[in-house]
Amino acid sequence: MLLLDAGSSILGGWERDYESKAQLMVGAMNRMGYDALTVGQGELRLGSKALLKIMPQADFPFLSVNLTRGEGGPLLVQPYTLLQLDSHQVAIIGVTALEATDIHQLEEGEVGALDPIESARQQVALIKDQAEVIIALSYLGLEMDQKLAQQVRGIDLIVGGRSGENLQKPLQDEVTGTVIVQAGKRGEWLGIIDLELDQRGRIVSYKGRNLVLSEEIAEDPEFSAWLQSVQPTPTPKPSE
Amino acid sequence: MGRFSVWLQAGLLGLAILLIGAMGVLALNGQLRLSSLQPTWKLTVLHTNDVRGYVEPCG
Repeated sequence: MLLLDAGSSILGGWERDYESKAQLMVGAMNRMGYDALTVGQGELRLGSKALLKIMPQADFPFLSVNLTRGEGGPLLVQPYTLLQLDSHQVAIIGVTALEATDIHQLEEGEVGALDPIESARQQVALIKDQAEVIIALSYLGLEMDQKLAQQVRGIDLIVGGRSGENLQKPLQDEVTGTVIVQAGKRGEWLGIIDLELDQRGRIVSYKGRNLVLSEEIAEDPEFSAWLQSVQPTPTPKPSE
Repeated sequence: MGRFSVWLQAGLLGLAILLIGAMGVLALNGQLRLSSLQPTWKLTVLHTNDVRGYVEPCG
């Protein structure tokens, strides 16, 4: 089983104490056992230096195939990760919308963004022989996810975010067979998709749904105790 | 009996060729997924996004 986040989860909207809130969220995601997160605009609000400082605290990688350090520089974070599940290799690539860098918390040219679809295509070509399954963890929005599915062969599943779509049933591209899911917004939903794959990693069947995270779901007592015990230390807000 | 055995073998061979050919045609037409004849494995993916409730600024 994999637990993935499609971005903008480390920091929320109008928050203060950016770094301490982000540290708290990383700690929480560590405890929940996240396997990967794609860098979205919420993460970039930390600024590149703070983001790179906080990443080693995570037990999971922050991913993006197309964000760069400065315009035209090397990639900001690792583009993909390879996970072994039993005897099967699963690759997860991160993809970020171009507009994600258009925020005042980033200085001019601090973080660049390459074309996400072309970057994904190149990355998939590089890793397709290393993994049976390729998952794109996407902070593009549903419309771009559909373009990604149409234009890049080799992606088996797109786990999407950014646009807040609550896809109660997955979509599937008719030509490439890529399956697309998205679980609403604001952490109100947990997406669950069960894939059945053949020995070459092709999807034979799938079943997906989004579970509403209502108060009917019991709290985990250990997690609640940990959360109560953590007292974030206020840090000065980055200058705006 | 010998001739019957030859005819039987030829008939079985012809039937096998016909069957393989038919499966190939069906697979090409997408009416038969050969992968469904192979062992499969299962993968469950849980996913979230926007957990802190971030809203992109307008414009």
